Amino acid sequence: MSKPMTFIKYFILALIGVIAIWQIIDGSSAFGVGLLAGIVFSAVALGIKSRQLNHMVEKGIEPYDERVWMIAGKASYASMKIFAIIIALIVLFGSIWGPQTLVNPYNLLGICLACLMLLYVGFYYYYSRIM
Amino acid sequence: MGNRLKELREKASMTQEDLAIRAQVSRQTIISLEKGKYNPSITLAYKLSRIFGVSIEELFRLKEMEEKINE
Repeated sequence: MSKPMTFIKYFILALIGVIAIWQIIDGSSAFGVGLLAGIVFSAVALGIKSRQLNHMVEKGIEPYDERVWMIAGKASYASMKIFAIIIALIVLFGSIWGPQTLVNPYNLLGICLACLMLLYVGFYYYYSRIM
Repeated sequence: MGNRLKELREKASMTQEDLAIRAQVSRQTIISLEKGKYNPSITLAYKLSRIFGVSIEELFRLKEMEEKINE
């Protein structure tokens, strides 16, 4: 990972950290603590990943080679396709039989994003096992 | 697609990591190639054939061709 890219990632994490602390002070402690926990987890994962990548680069091994890109491409396509199908089915059946409810759009977007990421991680793992 | 990658690598007394470094790919890619799970791009196939000093056809074979040869 290049140094500017690493800096940007840690800067974004620090920025979200400030928002998390502000939320805790402001009274939304559940949201703030959750956010803070997420940041700590992300920072640790990012640190481990970049150390592994640096180790590989030092050895002269290309960490992001053609196989990785192919797996990432296949995982992206599969997760997008499954996500679109699931959403379409929910919209279709929900419009006919589902109850009319009010939802917080930010929560809904967050859930959609989490589902998409989970699908991507699952498919990435699947394709890296078979390829 | 079948290949003789493992055979040639062992003949050249190279580890999977050595080959990965020379071919500028990850060790996992070499493992997948040797197991026949992954088909390389033409660029990688060319690089590997250059490393072992053989032609692409000598290194990689279609499964049907291999079966015909074995018959």
